[in-house]
Amino acid sequence: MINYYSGFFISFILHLGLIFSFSNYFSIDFLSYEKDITSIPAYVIYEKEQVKTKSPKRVKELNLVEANKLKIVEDNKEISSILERLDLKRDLINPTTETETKNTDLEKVMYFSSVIRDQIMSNWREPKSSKVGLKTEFIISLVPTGEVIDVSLTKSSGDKAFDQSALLAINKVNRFYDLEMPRKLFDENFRKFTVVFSPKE
Amino acid sequence: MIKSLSNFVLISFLTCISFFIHTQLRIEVTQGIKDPIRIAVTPIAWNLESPASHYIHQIISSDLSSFGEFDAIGTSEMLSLPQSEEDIYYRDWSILKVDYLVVGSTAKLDQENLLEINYSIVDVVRRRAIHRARVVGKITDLEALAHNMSDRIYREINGISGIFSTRIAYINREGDSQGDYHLRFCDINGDNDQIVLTSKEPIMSPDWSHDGKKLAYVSFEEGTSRIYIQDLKTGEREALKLENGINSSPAWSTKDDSLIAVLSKAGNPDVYKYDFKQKRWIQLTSHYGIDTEPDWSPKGDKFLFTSNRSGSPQIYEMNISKNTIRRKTFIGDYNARARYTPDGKSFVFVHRVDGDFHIAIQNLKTSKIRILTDTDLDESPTISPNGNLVLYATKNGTKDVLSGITIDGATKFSLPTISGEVRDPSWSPLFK
Repeated sequence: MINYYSGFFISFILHLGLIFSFSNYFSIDFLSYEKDITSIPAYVIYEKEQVKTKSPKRVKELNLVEANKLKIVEDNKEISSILERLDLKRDLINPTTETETKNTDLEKVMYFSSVIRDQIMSNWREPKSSKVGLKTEFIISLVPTGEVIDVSLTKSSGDKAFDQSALLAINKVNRFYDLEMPRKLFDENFRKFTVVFSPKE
Repeated sequence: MIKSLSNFVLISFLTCISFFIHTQLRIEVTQGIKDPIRIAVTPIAWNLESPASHYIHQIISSDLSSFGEFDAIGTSEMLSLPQSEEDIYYRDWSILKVDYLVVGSTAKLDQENLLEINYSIVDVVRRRAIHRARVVGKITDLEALAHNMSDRIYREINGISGIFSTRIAYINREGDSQGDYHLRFCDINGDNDQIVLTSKEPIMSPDWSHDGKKLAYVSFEEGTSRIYIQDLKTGEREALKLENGINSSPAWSTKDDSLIAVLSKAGNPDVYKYDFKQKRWIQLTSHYGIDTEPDWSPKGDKFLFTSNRSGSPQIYEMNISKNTIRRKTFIGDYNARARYTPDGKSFVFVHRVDGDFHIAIQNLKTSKIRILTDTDLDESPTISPNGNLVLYATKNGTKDVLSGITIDGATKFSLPTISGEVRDPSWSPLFK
């Protein structure tokens, strides 16, 4: 007689995990996940190696350091031109800026989210039927100018007037202003996003 | 074996998670603004030979703007007057910052005296109709038809029933202290005022039956208080069984013909239920204190009443089937005349703070109290059937008047003045 218990148990846990993650039970936050891990671009290592190979000469060390600095600048220029040809962003060259942007990305996303929320809020007239527990969801598609190109209802609250008021609010905004941001940030977060209308006490 | 299997499980599990990690940005909007909704009701095309007795669009506009929820713009502001959806030039309306537009036309029906109104509610921003409907009625009932349209428009946009077709019953006394007492009812804008009963002796506590066809009230015309039921269409009256002492505060159920009232035949006032078949009273509460002013819960299984059994007037709730009584108010030394909100979750009542009588609302579950009025001699609150408005009697100087306030406390309104003293308002149910 083969013991299936462990197999069954593992399969059960696996399926449970699947179901939970489908229902977003773990509320996995993509943005905070990204914040913790900052990848270091490969060319940084390449640069360090360059410096190391040239620094052992002890005579006229200072001059060499100066020269190396110039060399790094030159190298950077070279890399940047290569990267530009490869259609990559120039500010990626400087590793410190890279980390900073990564760290402030989340803040920026939060900031622009609040900009969007405020503009929807000031155009939303809650109907009398609005109450805690009602929830309606829309997916909004934007173009970089802030213009709304598509609104689709993905989850109805069941209350027609409530859905209609939310739909009217988004359409009234028509074009979100003050959304000047790097193209990459826009493409990753704001080209398509979900707006949830759910009244709170 | 098990170890490698669990490793496999772990790896596949992580793969699954990473699959879901790339979620879309979610922005949550939890609150809107309270500004009134801009709406334009264009003149409804009148395609009949006989002239119209009322301007339908004016009635609707004034209905919708009565309680500060809508801002209906006047025809003088409008840049065009479309009569059908095809005629709408949307830019005219977006310039005026109008959110919704109502267009429509009338047509005579083959049947004598009947007309229909076809109308559309148009979302100006999205440039599409959100509702198209037809109402049919007598040409002579044009006003009622217009109120009916207001109700529907209100419901489409605000999500709860409109109350522009409902009525308000009240007691009115002409002159100062010598005049007759009248039991009257009128539309909520004060129009179509009708007298139900006139008496030299006091009339009190009118209450509507669940279908809005009958009124129960207390009359002193026989020298002593007695409860009557009157059919509003036929005028037929039924006097309920008279008992010794007080016969007062009749309250109809909002579901059926059940009626409770306060009698003092046992020596002190208690709440009784009337048995219409056997024409007798069945005792519900029994206490040596005063139990009075009952009100049925919307579900019909409980009722609220005022009792001084604890020493001061407080609100109690009785569950009829379980025969249990619970005290509901604990703040203040005077809480009386409770009325359930239509959702049955709260009640409005008279609440005394620092010697002033205000109308307040209390949540039955959380017991949270919110004071609605800032006048100081408020009494007899009654709630609109959509739960959005509270009407109450108060004093304007020395004169009794009816005042109203929205349940969120945002907008106050008053009924157009009716000559003489006005008190004991009772809001009708929705007429079907």
